[in-house]
Amino acid sequence: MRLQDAERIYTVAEVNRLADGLLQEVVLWVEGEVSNLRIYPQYLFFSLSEEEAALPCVMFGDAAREASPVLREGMRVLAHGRLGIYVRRGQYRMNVHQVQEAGEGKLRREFFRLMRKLSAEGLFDESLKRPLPSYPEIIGLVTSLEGAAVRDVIINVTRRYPCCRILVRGVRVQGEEAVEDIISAIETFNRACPVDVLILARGGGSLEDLHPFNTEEVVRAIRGSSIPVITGVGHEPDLTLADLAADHRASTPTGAAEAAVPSSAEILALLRERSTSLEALLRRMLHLRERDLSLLASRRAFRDGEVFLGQARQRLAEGEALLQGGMREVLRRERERVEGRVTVLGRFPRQYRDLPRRIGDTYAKMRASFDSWWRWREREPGWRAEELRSCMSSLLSASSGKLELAASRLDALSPLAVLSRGYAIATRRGESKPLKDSREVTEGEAVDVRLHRGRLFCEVRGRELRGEGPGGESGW
Amino acid sequence: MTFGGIMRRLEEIAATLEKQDLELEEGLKLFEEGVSLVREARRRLTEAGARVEKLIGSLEEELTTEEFRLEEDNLAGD
Repeated sequence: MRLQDAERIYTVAEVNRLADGLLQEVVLWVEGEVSNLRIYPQYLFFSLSEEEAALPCVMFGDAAREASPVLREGMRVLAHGRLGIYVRRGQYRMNVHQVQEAGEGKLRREFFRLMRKLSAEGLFDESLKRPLPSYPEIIGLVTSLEGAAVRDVIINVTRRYPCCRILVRGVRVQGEEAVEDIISAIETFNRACPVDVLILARGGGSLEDLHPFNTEEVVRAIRGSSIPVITGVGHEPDLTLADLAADHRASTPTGAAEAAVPSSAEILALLRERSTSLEALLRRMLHLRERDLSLLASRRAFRDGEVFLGQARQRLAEGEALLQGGMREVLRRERERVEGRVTVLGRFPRQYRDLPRRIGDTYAKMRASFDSWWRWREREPGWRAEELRSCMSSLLSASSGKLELAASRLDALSPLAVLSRGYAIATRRGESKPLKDSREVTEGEAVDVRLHRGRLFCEVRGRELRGEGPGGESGW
Repeated sequence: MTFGGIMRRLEEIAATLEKQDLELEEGLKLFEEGVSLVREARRRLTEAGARVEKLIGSLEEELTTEEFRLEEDNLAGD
């Protein structure tokens, strides 16, 4: 091949063609991973890539038509071709004549192997997934401090749910050190910063970029976290083992933010509903009470004007019954005592006939004083049955004294008192009616004579008829 | 009280008020509590802004937090 002429000025196309000519000497096999695959009817483009280099490739004609149904993004292939330059753009590329799969890409093989292994262990089981808190107070965010992911999560969490706190732990999300960073961040939150929920986020990338999220260590760290974990890694179709292990998988960092916190718009709507329903419940309760009340008011007892005054009134009735019982007993005894005398006396002066009425008056006065005492007592909240009883007994003894006094006055006025002055009362044996006329008895009949102290049991030996002349039937 | 606590208490109050055998006075008390909780929840949702902090240091040494602000290029996008 002819070398460049130092004396000559070349055109751009000439330079590119020169370079193309030089490169075309190189024909070889190369192994790499297919990316940026674009398939057209007559040709196809892709890149062969590995960790730190990429080689643009192009295929034409039959070779392209054969390869297009086989090639897949991320596929590891062996390609055979000739290097060259695309003259129009000065772009370096390899013109591939033949391509064959080099088996699954190393990363993808590892991905599926690990997925099978960890899945068999049960690490992806639905039953292990924990519920996310409805209203988290603090959210832990594990992501790179640069880039879109941290921004997407913070902006969306803040917009949706401003009443929370976000604690960001910056980590590397790519490369060898990323695995260690992520594990350590999850551990740090679990041991030292018990947040309510953890978000593990990263922007989209190639299978290789996402590699840290496909490692066994990260999967185990997520599963070992006692704080629920939400993943938001990559773009929609990207799926990582971290996603499978997480308690909730969102397809993007924004999705993770939405899953982590409720939307304040929804809560505000819920609160509106809540306060409306509180009012409705209160209204219903008032309505029910009103109905109960009107039902109660329609009962006969209330319709007739009776008012329920409660236990105190009931106790009053009981106390009253007790008092009445006691009074009745006293009155009964007194009445018996008085009536016993009245019986003996037969007829008695007018004022004694008033006795029952006077006893009645005394009783009424006692009732009145008891009632007023009771009314006063009822206003006292802490009255006791014991006090009631002692008060009643003093009332009773007072009334008993009054009755005693009445009885002694009665005694003073009684015809029996006359006997103490030396008079006697004679009656036929077994009768109580005093004898007033000697004709009421016959000779030989038994007569009882009552003295001031004691009685005489006598027999009529003779009698004098009042108004008859001497020499008559004189028994004396 | 946490926000979650407020929301749970509101649920409880509504559930209690739904019971028919509640004393009127108790019902009124619950209603007042519910209304003030709704007010508090609204206030928190509308007044506060999320606090964003960066967790720095390590478990072995010392962990602290400092305020975290999104950089200009973070805000602007990629």
